[in-house]
Amino acid sequence: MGENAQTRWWRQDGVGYVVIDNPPMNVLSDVNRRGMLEALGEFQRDGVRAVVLTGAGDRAFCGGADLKEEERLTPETVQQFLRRGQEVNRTIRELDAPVIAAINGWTMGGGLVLALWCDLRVGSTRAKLGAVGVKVGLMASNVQLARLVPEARARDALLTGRTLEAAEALAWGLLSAVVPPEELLREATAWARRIAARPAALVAEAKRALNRALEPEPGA
Amino acid sequence: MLLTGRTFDAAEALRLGVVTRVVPAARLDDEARAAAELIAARPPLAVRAARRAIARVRDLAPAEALAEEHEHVRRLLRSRDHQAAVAASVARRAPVFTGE
Repeated sequence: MGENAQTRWWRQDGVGYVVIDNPPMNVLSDVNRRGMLEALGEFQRDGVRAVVLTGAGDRAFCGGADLKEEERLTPETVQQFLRRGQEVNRTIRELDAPVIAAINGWTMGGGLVLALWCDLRVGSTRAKLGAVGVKVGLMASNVQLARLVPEARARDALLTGRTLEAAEALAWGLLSAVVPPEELLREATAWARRIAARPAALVAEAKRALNRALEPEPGA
Repeated sequence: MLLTGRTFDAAEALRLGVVTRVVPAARLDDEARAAAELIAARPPLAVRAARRAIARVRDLAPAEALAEEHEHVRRLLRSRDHQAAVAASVARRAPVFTGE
């Protein structure tokens, strides 16, 4: 259990919960990235069986990078900016416990990247996904999206930057389930408990095997 | 599909992800134009980079594809269009993109 100014985390019945709490849009920052890393590190040490990641409030899961923070980037700090984002994604991917994103609202840009690195996603009817990088002259989630959905869908989402509502995201397979907002945490917890009930070592090995199958070493 | 050569209708094409939206026949031209205009309104460098990156994803190991994506991001962060988008977003107005 812990918290910092923009992140809260706790454990209950073998399931770890992490909440990004940076209103109104839960945009990414150094503070909540550090919070997520600390929470996930703690869960790994404590042998948590499954993790639920969500955004505070009912408006956004994660609105992505903070354009104001990003405006101050220089060629020297860009590298670090990209690396910090990657560190959270890699930690999610390498955690023994599967991570379930509970998508409670807007999920855009770097927020979509974060959601797509999770092992699976469940959404509320308020979930809205957008690969919005193209709208601001950038690129994000190209690789993840192009691998997760058929190419025509990846091209549609990435080139228009349009919003995918919960029903469409479900049809595309980006969400595994969609429930009313007030049931989202219960639904995500049910998925987490289902995973937590399996033998932990087998789940961890299955996750590692999936990671390897989907992401062979460079050159392999 | 390739081996049977059978017909698949709009609903099946949508379900399979071959097409991403289905609209009434009378609306087709308007909807297609609207989609084209939406993409045309985006910063050209970012659209071009996205198309190139998507085309490469399946040919590269994921780590290499990600490294290329970051290469694109570094370049795009320096583009005028990105800076115009940030400025417009902060000022809450519509951005004007020049393709630079």
